[in-house]
Amino acid sequence: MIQVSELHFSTEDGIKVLDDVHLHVDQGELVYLYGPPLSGKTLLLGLLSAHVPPQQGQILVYGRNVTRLSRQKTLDLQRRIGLLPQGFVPLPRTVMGNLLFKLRLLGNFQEQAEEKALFALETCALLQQQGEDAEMLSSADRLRLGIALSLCDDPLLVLLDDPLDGLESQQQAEICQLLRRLNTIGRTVLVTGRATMPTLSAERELLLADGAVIPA
Amino acid sequence: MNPFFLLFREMLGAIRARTALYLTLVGVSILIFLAAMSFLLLSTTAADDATAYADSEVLVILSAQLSSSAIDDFYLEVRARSDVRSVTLRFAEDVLPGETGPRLLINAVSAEVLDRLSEELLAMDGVVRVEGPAAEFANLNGIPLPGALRIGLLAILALGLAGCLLSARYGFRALLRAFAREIRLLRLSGVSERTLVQPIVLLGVLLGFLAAFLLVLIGAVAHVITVAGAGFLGVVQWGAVAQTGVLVVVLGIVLGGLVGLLGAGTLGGREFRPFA
Repeated sequence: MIQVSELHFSTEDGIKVLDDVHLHVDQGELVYLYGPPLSGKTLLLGLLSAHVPPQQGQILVYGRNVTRLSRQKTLDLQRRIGLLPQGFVPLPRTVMGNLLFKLRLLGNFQEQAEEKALFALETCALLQQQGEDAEMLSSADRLRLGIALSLCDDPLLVLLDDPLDGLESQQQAEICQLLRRLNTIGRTVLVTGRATMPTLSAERELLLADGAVIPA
Repeated sequence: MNPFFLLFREMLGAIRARTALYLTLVGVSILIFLAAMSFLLLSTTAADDATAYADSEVLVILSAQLSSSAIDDFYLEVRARSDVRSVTLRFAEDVLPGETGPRLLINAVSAEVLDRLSEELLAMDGVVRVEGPAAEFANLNGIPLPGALRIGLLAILALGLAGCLLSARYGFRALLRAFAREIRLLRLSGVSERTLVQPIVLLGVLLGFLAAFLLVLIGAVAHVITVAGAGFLGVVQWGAVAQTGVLVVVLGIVLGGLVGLLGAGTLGGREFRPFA
């Protein structure tokens, strides 16, 4: 699913953020990648999802070399990846409205969009709140909505950037349970965080430190 | 609904009072720009006004279908009238380029008989219309503008353009900031830049079109009022008004589109990028 090799990335000031990163994630895996703040986790997800152009190295996602994709193929790849950014803030709409906005603009017909949205909401246990104002949700439910948004258009790969940050332990446990459920329904999930997360029961935990990925 | 129109509708939904004010200013600026432009298009230079008519002159427009013998008969009949001092046959091309049909420039014995003469001429066979007073008809080619007014119009033109660009910059930025979360989400989801840019350009085009349409409407109403008040065709022919109207609408659409493109340039900002 993901194959990263010899990946290097430096800031404009010349600071090395990623230094010879090697990463391999198989299809259907649940991988947890953690590291201290500013270690490059968000950057790595940006590179994997083709939102940040790589400087050096090779990134294969779905067998496609991200560094050599045309503009259209990059967009196609981005559509097949569900990405939840760090500090997700919902749109000023209802919970259902958030999902329909994305799905309709990605070309889904109304009925199809509603069907996909309901499935995503059901998976994330948000069906009851579908008519509520998304901005009024609790932090855990906002996160559920973010996850629902990232998986609503049937991606095979879901990238979640530091989703558990700021949650209480009970909420973290519930979200971890949700992430495991996503994994069991066939999604490849790569989650980032700041510290180890035993409650996630990830198949692999990796540490990103000093610009390199090492098994924890 | 098509994603393009859906996004456009959602974008319109993000318009707040301040954004609406800026966008209205964009429209008003475009209107001012186009108004100055259309005055300049309709105006004549001093050289165009060289033909001068006396107060006692009237122009008779004959049907283009008239045979040469019928025109001769008409000419002789008019010349024989006691209230007519002289008759000059002119071709339409001499007076108004692009128009056809013979015209008779009639010099009455005095300005007092002009009204009655005009009515009687209008009742004669083959007469399409009678225009006067001649002094105003002399400017049928356009509105005579002195040099200073021309410079003033050019200044208004520049001001309108500057106002338009400035208000567009602030207006579109405010609009897109209110829509920033949606834009970031769409970019994360792999929506193309073209999809994001198109509704913004359409909004600019709509603003330009509305401004131009309003201007044409105002121009047409003003023209009709002028005609009704003065009892003649006005200082500018309907053809010229219509032609300028079409040109103004096209210019409005183009200018609006360019303004929209300028607004879409805001999308390059860091706040709209998911990985800034």
